[in-house]
Amino acid sequence: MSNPDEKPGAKAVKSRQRVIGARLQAMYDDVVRQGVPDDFEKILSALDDLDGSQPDEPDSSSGRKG
Amino acid sequence: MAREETVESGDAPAEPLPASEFKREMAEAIPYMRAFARSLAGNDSAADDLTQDALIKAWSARQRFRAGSNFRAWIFTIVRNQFYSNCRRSWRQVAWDQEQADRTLTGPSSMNGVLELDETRRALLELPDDQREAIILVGAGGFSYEEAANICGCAVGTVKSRVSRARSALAAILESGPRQRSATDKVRPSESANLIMAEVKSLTPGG
Repeated sequence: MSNPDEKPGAKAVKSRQRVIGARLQAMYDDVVRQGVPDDFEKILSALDDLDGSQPDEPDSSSGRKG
Repeated sequence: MAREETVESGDAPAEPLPASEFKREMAEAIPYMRAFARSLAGNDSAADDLTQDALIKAWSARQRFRAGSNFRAWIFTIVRNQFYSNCRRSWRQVAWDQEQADRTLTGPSSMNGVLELDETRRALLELPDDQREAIILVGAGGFSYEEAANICGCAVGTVKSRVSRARSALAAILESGPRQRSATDKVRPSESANLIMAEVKSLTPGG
């Protein structure tokens, strides 16, 4: 298909950089799409105990599940 | 609580966020923090440890965050500082875990897509830390050069040159195939170059 021996011109370099940019973005988005895993939810809800401060929302979100 | 956008003279000190709002900002930032941490630490579980440490640090420093400033940039700075302060300890020693990478790379549906991301992640790990963070922040995280410079604590020009060096280095690494390989590796260097060329073709309008 392509000849790797060919010296890439400025246009080819640009295209290649676009591909690498797209890959980096895909890699990053792949993790972002995973959202907030359970471990992190637990940390968030444990934060109030960390410094003894009261949450300023009265209702604690849905009850614990065993 | 009503959120009012008050325009005050620039030197008036802004209020810290209420705890619940701060926590909401953190929850929204977590997916992005994990993505950033993943690119810094390379290994998934090390990256999540790093993110969790950063969350706790951020929570205890929440009085220092001013409402109205860029939360994500602020908390990324904490992730980054945490990464470098832990560097001496262990983050960089963790080995590439191919099985874990296979398990966690769930995004692209095509096999080629998985290989490409896997390969890109390994290539990224070959970059010096400063170049890697710069290209992730600007190239994937959507930060401006100015914001990235703030996060990294360096000049805008420095970020620009790091990004540019990172781009060239990544191109070179991906063309020759990443060095960090595993026994179960599926992409050989020659195939790697072909994959890039195939992608170039598919992304280039009109060929």
